[in-house]
Amino acid sequence: MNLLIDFTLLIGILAIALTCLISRSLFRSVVFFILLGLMLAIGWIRLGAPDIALAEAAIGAGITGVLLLDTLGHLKKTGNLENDEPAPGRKRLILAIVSSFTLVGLLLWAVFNQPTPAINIHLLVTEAMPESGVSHPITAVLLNFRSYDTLLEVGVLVLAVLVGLALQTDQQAQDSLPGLPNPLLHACLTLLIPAMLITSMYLLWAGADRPGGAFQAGAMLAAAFILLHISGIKLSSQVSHRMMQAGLLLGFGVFLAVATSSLIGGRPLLTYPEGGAGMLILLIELALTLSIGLILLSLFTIANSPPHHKDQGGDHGH
Amino acid sequence: MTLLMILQSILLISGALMFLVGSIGLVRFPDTYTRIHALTKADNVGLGLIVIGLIPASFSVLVTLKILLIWLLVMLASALSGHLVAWEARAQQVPLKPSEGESSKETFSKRELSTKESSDEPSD
Amino acid sequence: MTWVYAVTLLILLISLIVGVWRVIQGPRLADRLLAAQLFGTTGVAVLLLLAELQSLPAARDTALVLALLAMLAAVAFVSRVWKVRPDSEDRP
Repeated sequence: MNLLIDFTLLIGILAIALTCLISRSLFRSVVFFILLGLMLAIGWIRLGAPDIALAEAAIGAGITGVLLLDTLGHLKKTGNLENDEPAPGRKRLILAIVSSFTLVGLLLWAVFNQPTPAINIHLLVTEAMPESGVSHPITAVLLNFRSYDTLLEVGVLVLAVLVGLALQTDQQAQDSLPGLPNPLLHACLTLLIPAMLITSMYLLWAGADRPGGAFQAGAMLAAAFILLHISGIKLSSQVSHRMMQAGLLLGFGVFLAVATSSLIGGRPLLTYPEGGAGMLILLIELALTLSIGLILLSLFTIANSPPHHKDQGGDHGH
Repeated sequence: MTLLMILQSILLISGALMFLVGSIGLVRFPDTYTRIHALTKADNVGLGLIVIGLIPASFSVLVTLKILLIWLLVMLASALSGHLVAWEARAQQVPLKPSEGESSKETFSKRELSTKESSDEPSD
Repeated sequence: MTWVYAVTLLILLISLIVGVWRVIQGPRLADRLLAAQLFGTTGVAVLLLLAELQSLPAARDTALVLALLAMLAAVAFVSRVWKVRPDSEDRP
């Protein structure tokens, strides 16, 4: 019976991924992409990886889908949305098929021929858990044992936002898309936004001993911001530009400060003082949650610069 | 199998069947408005039955409260998205499926609606 | 009891596959979106069942996240894609 469920799920995931790729209509592809995120979240749960399932549900099924819909809206607004792209030539199609099958083959080969690791990582993590300051192994790995990975990842996110800000040509890039003046929606927001904020904090707190943590909490926070944004309530009109920028950098800053402060005490980079690890991890995660939330929101707010001058003759107004 | 388990099984299976009915409704119903109806009603009943069926499974007050909260949130989301789609469909004059002898345009022109023409072309 | 969960899961997955038809078929954007909405609700049910079947409480948290984000796509669709046309103005 379990096999039947897994098999149905597997076929579903593959079929949806394929349809997403070959669909001619962009909107249909986006809907299939959202469905794919959902199926993948279920798949990760089946595989017993709830941390990834949480992230996939929030980012894959939620935020990325909305980001793609937002992009479609901008394309439609500027008249650049063309549904009938020419089909790729047969040669290119064959090349794509051959190369993807080769890649799948190589990956399968790699999976079945993995070398046995010289050290038992599982055992090492389990042994070191008591000193990590948290009791959920994944959080311990992400923010203690291999925290340099996470630090660099956050650095990459911050860099991406900086590039986005640099590309923003117009001095006052206003969001050109309308909000949604629906009274029921705005009434529901007063219920939903607090629920989302509480869930975000819950996920952050849960990260200490259960699946959860800064990335999932940040995604949830971002979802709340984005919901407000697409309903027509602009965060930037409530908070000053400087505050937003500070918020974007806060997570990376706090992380970096904690990472380097250990040097002052004569300990190596990125280690926590004895006994204080739990508190410091919580502090870092809190700052990271806010920053990740704002970084994901900025994908929506800073990409809204008006279209280039070449299609100025179109029917959009400034 | 205890009585409770039998009850649970009935709730779970009938909940799943409600989902199936909702999906069939979504596929079979003729226009956007009726599809909203199939979707927002059948699913929420289905999820409700499944949630109630799951409560005794490993009973704890907190878990019960959490899954009830999830059900409430899903109902809120469904009701709101159904409303939004219907609201916008009406504003854009998405046609009702014409029933015999009456064209959908007439049904709509009787109402006071904003008079933009529908730009929601079928997309492919 | 396990087989009841499994049967329920299978029916839910079948109902998902039935729903895919509407996404492919359309014909309107709204119809496709409604199908996605149905998927969200079904996904929540599947996750709640899996939490019990695999005794994995974190699956309930995933369901909670899905439930909270369920309307995001609908709001984004209506405000960003459907309403938008080159010279749109807000209706009352």
